[in-house]
Amino acid sequence: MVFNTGAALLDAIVLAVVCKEEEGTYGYKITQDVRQAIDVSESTLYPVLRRLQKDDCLEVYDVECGGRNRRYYKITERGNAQLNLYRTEWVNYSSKITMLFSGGESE
Amino acid sequence: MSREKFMSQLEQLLLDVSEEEKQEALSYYRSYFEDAGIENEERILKELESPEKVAATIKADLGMEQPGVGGEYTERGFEDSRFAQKNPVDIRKTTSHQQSQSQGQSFGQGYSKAERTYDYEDKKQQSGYSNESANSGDGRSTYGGRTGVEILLIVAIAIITSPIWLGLVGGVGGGLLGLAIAVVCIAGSLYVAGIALFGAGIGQIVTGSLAIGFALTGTGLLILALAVLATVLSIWVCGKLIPWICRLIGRLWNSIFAGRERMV
Repeated sequence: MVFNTGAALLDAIVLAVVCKEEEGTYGYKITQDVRQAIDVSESTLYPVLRRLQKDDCLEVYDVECGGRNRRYYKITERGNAQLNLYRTEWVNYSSKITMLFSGGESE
Repeated sequence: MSREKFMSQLEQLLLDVSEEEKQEALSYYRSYFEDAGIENEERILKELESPEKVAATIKADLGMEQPGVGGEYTERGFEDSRFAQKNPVDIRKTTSHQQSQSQGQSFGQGYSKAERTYDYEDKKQQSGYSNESANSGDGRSTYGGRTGVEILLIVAIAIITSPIWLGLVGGVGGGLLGLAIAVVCIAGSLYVAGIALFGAGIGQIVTGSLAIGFALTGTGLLILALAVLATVLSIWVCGKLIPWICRLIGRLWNSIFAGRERMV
C-alpha cells in the first residue's frame, strides 16, 4: 500500500475489528481480519492490542479451548467511545480528501 | 527455525522485561501459533522474521531503550527507525528524503514485504512510529509548530530592523510620556497659580486695597476653575487617550506582523 497507516488509524481498525465480534475475538483472528483491509505483519498487532488493553479500550479474558487457554479480546465501553470518535474523525478526514482528489471545492 | 526454538529465544530476549509483560507477550504468541495451526506455522515464522525483531517490537512499545537496535526518545516522542517505512513504491523512494521530514508517524507496512533492508544509519532522518500516542489520547497529530529556520528568520529580521523599531518605540513612547507629564504639570501649575493669586487677593483685601484685592481673588478663582478643567483633561489623557493610542499601535503591529507571516 502506498499510504502509511498511522498509530491512530491502526488503533481504530483494530477496535472496529474487535467491535464486530460481540463474544470477543482472539489475536490470530484479529490479525487476519485486519489484513483484509491493510497489510500488516504478524508482529504488528501485539503492541497495539496490549496498548489498547492498557488504555482500557479492550478487555481480556481467557477461554478454555481444546485443553488450553485462548486469550479473547472484547471491546469496552471506553473502547466503543474511542471507536466512535475515530469514526467521526475518519468521515471528516476522508470526505475532505475525497473532495480534494475529485477536484471539488470545499466550502 | 522451529516454533519451539522461536519461543524459547523470544523468552530469552524478554528477560529484561517485567514478568507481567513477558508472560503477556509469550502467551500471545504461543496462542497465536496454536490458533494459526501447524499448516501456517512456517509462514508465520517467516513473517515474524526473527525473535529479535519481535522482542524489539514489544520493547519498543514499552518504551524500553534499545540503543543501536530499537528506537529512541526524542523531542517528538519515541522514534524507532525499524518502523519507519521502507516504501515499496518506487516514486516514494526517490522522494523519501523530503518525505521523511513530514512523516509524523508511519507504522511500517513495508516490513511484511519481501524487501526488509532496514536502514539503521538513516535513523536521524526518519521519524518512525511515535509512541507519544500511547498515553495521550488524541496526541496523535504530528508536530505542527514553527520550524527552527522560521524562528531564526524572525529573530534575524527583528535584529536587522531594530534601529527602525527601537526608534519608533522610543519615539512614540517618549512622546506619550511627555504628553502625560505635560498635561499633569499644566494642571498642577494652574492650581499653584490660582491659589497664589487668591491668597494675594485676600492679603490685599485685608490690607485695605479692596479693588486690587477683589481683582486678584477673582483671577485666582478663574485660574482655579481652569486648573479643575486641566485636571479633567489630564485624567482623560492618561486614562483614555494613551491606552487608546497603545491599543492602536498594537493593532497596527499585529496586522504588519500577520502580513509578514503570510509572506513567509
